[in-house]
Amino acid sequence: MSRLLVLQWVLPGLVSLTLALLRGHAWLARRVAVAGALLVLVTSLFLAAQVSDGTILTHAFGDWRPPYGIVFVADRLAAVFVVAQALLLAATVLLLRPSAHGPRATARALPLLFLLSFALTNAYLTGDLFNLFVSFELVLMLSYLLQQIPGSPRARQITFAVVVGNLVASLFFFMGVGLLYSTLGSVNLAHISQAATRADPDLLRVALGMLLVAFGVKSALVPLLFWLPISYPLLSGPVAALFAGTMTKLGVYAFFRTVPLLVVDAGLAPLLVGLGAGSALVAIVAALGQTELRRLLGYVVISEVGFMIAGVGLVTEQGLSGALFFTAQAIVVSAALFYLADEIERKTGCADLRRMHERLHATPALLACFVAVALAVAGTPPLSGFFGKLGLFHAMVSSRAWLALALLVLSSLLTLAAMAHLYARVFLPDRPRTPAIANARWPLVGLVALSLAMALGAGAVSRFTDATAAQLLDPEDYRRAVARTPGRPAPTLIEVER
Amino acid sequence: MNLAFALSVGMLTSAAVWFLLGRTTFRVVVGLLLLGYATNFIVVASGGFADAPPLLGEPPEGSMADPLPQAFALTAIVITLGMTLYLLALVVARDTDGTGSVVEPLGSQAPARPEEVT
Repeated sequence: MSRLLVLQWVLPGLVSLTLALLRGHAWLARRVAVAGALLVLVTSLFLAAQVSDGTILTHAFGDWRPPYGIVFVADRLAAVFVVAQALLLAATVLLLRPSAHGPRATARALPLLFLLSFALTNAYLTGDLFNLFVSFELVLMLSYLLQQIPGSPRARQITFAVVVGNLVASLFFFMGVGLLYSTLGSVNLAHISQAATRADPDLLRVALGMLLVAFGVKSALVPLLFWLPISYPLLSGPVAALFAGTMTKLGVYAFFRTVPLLVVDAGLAPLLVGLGAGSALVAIVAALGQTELRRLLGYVVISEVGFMIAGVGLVTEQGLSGALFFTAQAIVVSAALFYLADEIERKTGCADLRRMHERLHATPALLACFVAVALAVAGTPPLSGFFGKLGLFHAMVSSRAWLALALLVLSSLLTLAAMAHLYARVFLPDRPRTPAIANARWPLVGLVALSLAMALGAGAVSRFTDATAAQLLDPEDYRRAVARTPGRPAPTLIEVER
Repeated sequence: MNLAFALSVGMLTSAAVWFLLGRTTFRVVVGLLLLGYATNFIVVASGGFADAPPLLGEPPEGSMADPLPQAFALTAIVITLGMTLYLLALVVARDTDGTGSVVEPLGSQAPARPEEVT
């Protein structure tokens, strides 16, 4: 069963290789891509089913037991993120069409999308900080390549800025890993979660601070968010949706994974709450002033990430559970937003909100999808965003984080304003005659239906996230599962209380 | 020895920050290279200063070099090398349009308007 982890990781890589070999044969490549994406999704759902009862799957590469070897660990948290990225990969592959987005762009993007899934799965399944760093680098490299697909000088200019910023952040991450290694003696997460309780708190704080800065850049937290809104307008539509749903969430996953395990002193976690709440407010205020559709949505995504990080920073069971619920539904909903934006941009032929007036006739299906997604983003009942935010606000009240709560409530109101602004700009025509008809494609409808299902089944989802939060806050299970990984007999340094 | 490492890292990082904020794109790439060196210094230094090769049967483990930081630094060097190559390719493609002429400063072009999506 531990081989399932390897399968989940290697499968997108193999599909990517096949697609790279099929570069000239667009018809066959698209069939292979769709089949591969569905296969990855099915495998991820199977993995999620295996860990949903609380078992933690581990796999030691080369049979070298941790902490010396590299180990893959799948608990509930990892399963949630793996399923989410597989889902978005499938939706993106289904929506990326040569007829709509250009045959050259599609042919270039398809192998890179599967490699992105490969790298993301590595990040979500790894139990090792250095492997996390390597997968961050892989993901960044692929994101730069995907951003470059338009090939225009403006794309190159913006990609340069994004690459430099993210590379500096990665080097910070690596510095933090080096400092952690010298303080704690290992990079294996299970091992250092034990050692962190006995280490020198000042050194640990410096090392963790560098890590959190790196994760903050990755998840576009204030004040490190400059790179995201400038890069999203460059991407092909479905690829932008994949980015919105997976790239920042990689940083959020890193927070989820390291904060409960490693942040043992009282200083850094409240800082995260403050930064998250501030990020939520600053980003949505910036969104209200945007004129380009995808930049506006990029700021909305950053605002949502602020909510998630504020929840993680509470480090209580309610906080983590609320943040995880919100993250899961935000992945689905923000991807759906960007798919909508892609459809709108292609049919109206412009990206600027000021010129979109009366250029679009939307079918009732598309309009319904937009309303559902917009209200979910804004957090109005009875949609999934409401339950996510409810969990977060409840956690904040329990932790008495009043200022953060006020900032988040204000951000939610402003998000509603931003969505209403979008609706007025895009969908309300002055004159009824318009040439372009925008329709909702069925992967988009599928994502909206998933969001509605999460809202209707909020009880079941929140039970799952509660169990995940409990698992995260008690690292004993994690350490025990990693310590018991079968492999070459070697003294394992991971202490487990019997 | 610790002091020498710390001073080196400090100097490299300061030089890196200076270059990262430089006028031309090539200076930015040089800054990234220097920051990469500083980072690798930190990681190698985290392994202590023993220097016997970490092989089975070699001199006593007390004086054996820690192989993990060496592996980390190697991997990071290779990754940073790949990234720097990509950055340089971007610089060349961006500033010369394939003709191989002089690098232009970043920001010397007129601010671009939002592109229309066709």
